[in-house]
Parts: sequence; C-alpha cells; structure tokens
Amino acid sequence: MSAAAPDRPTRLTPRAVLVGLAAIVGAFSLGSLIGPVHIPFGMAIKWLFGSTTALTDRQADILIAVRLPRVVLGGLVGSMLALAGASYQGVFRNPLADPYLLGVAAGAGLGATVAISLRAAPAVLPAAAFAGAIIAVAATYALGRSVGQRSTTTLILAGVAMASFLTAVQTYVQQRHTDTLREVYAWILGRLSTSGWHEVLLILPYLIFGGTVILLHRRMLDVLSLGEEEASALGVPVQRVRLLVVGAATLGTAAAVAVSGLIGFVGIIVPHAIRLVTGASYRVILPLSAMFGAAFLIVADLTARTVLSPAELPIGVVTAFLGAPFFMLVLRTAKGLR
Amino acid sequence: MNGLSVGDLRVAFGSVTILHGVNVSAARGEWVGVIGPNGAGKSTLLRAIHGTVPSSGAVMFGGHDMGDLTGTARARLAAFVPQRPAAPPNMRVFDYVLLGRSPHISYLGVEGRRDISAADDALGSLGMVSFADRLLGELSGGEFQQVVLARALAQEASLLLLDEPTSALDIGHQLHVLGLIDRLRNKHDLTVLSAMHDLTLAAQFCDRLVLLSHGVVVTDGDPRDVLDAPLISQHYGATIRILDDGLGGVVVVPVRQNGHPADQ
Repeated sequence: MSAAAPDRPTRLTPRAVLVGLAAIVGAFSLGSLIGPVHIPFGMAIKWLFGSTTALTDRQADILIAVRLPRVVLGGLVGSMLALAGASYQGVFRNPLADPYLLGVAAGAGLGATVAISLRAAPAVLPAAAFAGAIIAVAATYALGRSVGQRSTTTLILAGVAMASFLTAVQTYVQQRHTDTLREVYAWILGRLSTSGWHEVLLILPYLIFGGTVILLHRRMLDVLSLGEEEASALGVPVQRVRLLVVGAATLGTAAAVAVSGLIGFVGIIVPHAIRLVTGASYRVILPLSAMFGAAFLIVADLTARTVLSPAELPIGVVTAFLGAPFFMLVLRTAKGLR
Repeated sequence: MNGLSVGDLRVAFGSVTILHGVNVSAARGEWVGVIGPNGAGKSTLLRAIHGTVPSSGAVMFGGHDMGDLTGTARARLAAFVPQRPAAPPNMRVFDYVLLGRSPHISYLGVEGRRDISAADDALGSLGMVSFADRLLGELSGGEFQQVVLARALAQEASLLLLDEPTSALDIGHQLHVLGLIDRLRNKHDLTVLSAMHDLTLAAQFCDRLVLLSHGVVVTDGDPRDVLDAPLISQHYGATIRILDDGLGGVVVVPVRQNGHPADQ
C-alpha cells in the first residue's frame, strides 16, 4: 500500500495568490489613474521607473498626494473589513456575522456623531469614532460575561442589545443637532476622503497588528469550526482564541471605520464569495479575503467618485449596489460547480 | 502502563447533581461500555473524564492525574468523540482528520511532516485513504463516522471516549463501525470507554458493562451478568427480555407493555 504520495492539507496555492495579486494590481491601477485629471497608464509606468518627465508636475502631484493615498487607504480598509468579517464568522460559527456584530459600528457612530455635533476639531473625529468602537465592544464583552454563560450566543445577544442602545443614543444626539445632520449622515454612509497620507499612517499600526494576529490564528479558526466542545476536547483554549481574534478584529475594524465611516457588506460578501469558491479552510479564506477585500473596496471607491463626478456617492451605497449582485453571481456559479 | 481509574466523580450543574460519586475503571486495552437510560449521566461521565465539564473526584489514566494536566496534555492522552460531531460540509476529509493533530501542534504552529503522516496512517487504518479529498458534506453517515474515528486515531491518544458512536447508523454500519473500533483497540492497545444505547451490541463488543442510573453506578461487570432482565427493566422503565443467542451471547428485546397488537 502507501505507494500514493502522502496527502497534503489545504493550503493557499500559488495560483490563488497570483489571482489575488492580479486583482489588487488591477484595482490599484484603475483607482490611481482614473479621475477628473486623466493619467495615461503608459506614462505612469514610465514615471514610476524614473522618467520624471513622463507626467506633468500637476499629474504627478495628483498621483502622489491625492490618488495614491486614497487608493491605499481603500485597499487597507477593504482588506481589514474582509479579514475581520471572515474571523468573526469563524469565531461565532455564523455565516451572517460581520465585523459590526459586537457594536463596533454603533459605538463608532456615536463617537463620530458626538464629535461632529460638538464641532470638534477634524483631528478629533477619528479618535472619537475609534474610542466609541472600542468602548462599545468592551461593554458588550462585559455584558455578555455578566450573564454568566460563556457561550457565543450570549455574546451576540449582548452585541445586539449594545448596538440598539448606542444607536438610540446616537440618533438622539443627531436629532438634537440638526445643523450637523448632513455631515453625520455622510459619515455614517462611509467615505474615503483623505488629506495626503495622514489617514493611512494613522491606521496602519492597528491594521498591521490586527491583521497579523488574525492571520496567525488561521489554524485555530479551522479547529473552532468544530464547535466549542470539540475544539476544547482537542486541547484548544477556546476562550483565549476567541478573545484574541475578536480583540484583533475589533481593533483593526475600529481603526478602519474611524477614517472611513461605516462601510457595510464588505465584511460579509467578500469572505463568503471566497468561501464559496475555495472551501472551508481559514488558511485560504483569510489571506484571500484580505486581498480581494482590498481590490473590491478600491473599485467601489472608484465607482463612488466617478459615476456622479464631480459629486461623490457614499461608498457604502456602492459596496451594497455592486456587492449584492456580485455575490448572487458567485452564489449561482459556485452552486453550478459543485 | 496503567489503565483508567475514576474515583468518586461528582458533577453538578447549579443545584442539579448529575453524577453522585461515580467509580469506574478500565484496564489497559479493555473496552468498557457505559449503559443506562436517557439522563442517567452517560455523556456527562465521558465529558467529566475528559475534563470538558467541571467535576470533583479523581481521574487517573496511564499513571497521570488528568485533573493536573493542561488541556493539550489531556488531549494527547484521551480522545473524545461526541454523539453528533460537527461536520462542516465544505471541509476536506484530510483537513478534518488533521485537526486531530491539534494537541501535538503548538498554539500558533502549523502541521509538520509528522502530523501529515499520522493523518495519512489514520485514514489508512480505516481503509479511507481514497476519501482524503472528499468533502465532509458528501459522505454518508457511516463514512463520516469512520472519518471521525480516523480523526480520533490521528490524535494518537491511548484512551478513546466515545459517546454513542453508532447511534446514527443502520444495523449493518453499526456492526461495521463497532468492528473497526475493536480492531483499532487491539492494534493500537487502546482503552475504550463508550456510552452505548444498543444493549445487544454492547454485550457483543464490550469486555465489561457499567450500568449507570440517576448518576449512580448500579452494577459493573461481565455483560452477561449486568444484562439481567429484572435489573434492566427496572432502570430503563420498560419490560425487557434477555434471550440466549445460541452462540454464547445474549439478545436484549424490549417488550410492548400491552401485549402484541395481534393478540388484541
């Protein structure tokens, strides 16, 4: 017997990585070249390889100070939201879990609304949203624990209660300050507006930390898909894994929404599409979600700022508008393949 | 090496006591069946031995006090298979069997060559090598139960705790899977403690039976002695007849209370 080559665990194949990289490079190129000031692809490549005269000064300025930071920010936020969504779905064994499940969005929304309503300095807004998100999730965790049972269901229910409560407070604050209503509304629907590289540098440390912790837990998330009892019977410290992964995902998501507002659908649709095509292993789902989340949000942002140019659509509208039909398409195709 | 010895095991959930000081033992390589009506505490006993529910009392296996061990160390000694193991439908069989290697892999580590060959060997022992690339959702109940056993085998634990391992299978597959368990324990010198619903099969496969009722061990011994009609009838709350199968074994037959419909 045993003439056959030993079997291999499911791993990220080089082909999948290439497809993911191609998607990112494609989205990145489109996002940096298309806009009110057109930048020709060939010229941009020449410029990139040292030919400083290939682009006009104005084109080069726009590329460096406007387009690239925005595209990079879109990629980072999309990547983080998709990664956080995939890890929440793993930890809670719930395909409908998204990064906002435990109150990140409601907390960030309240923080941002308070900052905008009080006409705080612009630098305060992301800090307030970030703090609101972290406090909300910490409160959800405390509430879930205080009930006594350590089940994920209790935690999810605590998240629902916390989100409803914070949204109620947020709506109240918003209605009390009708003069800033439009601004609050625009923030809630999500937007990737940048002032140079400031936002990118602001969130980068959190995203690197959160993303790394999540990716390091890829095998643990596979074990957790057997459920709490079987995972702990295999010697896995389920509570610790859950706390670390949820903590990392929350930190990254809070940083992302702090500069981009509440962009929905990415965290659910991207990991799902990946899962439908590649199967159940998180060692494949996590890295590919990060890659395709980046590409998806860059394209969504490009759409948001070009269809009604010079006006901008909220990016949350675009992610839903593009994401839902795309998801249905994947759903149909993947079913056909099986 | 020493077998399993459980002394004065108590489990309570809040004010409800499930196990009232249970004593059970199994010699190395022995297959002990735990029988008893629903709610007797069979599953809780297996879980408490494995440490997935809090308990008081002593659980010793292979010379180790299981209570003193970390979760990982316990999982290297004992494999627990619940009655209905989770089966993520899109998971590959090989990946599933490989999860059994978890206690041998560091927290953030990934599988090494040794783990991959252990999973291969486990699939091989069950004659399931050709299933490696199938998805769990594509397997029949019997095939999945064998894959579950392969995962437990890949764990390389010498104590198997099985909670009604064949409750979802038809008669043919029950015999097949129980036969596999028997072969595996002989081959790998495994100690097996399994909760059993089917008393006839329990008598055929187990070296010894423990009758549990209301969280107390009622009797413990050779299957032919434990399967005593009045005793079983009393604890299962049903009229039961024990027949000789003519081959040295016994057959346990439940009898309808109001007589056979044809008699009426």
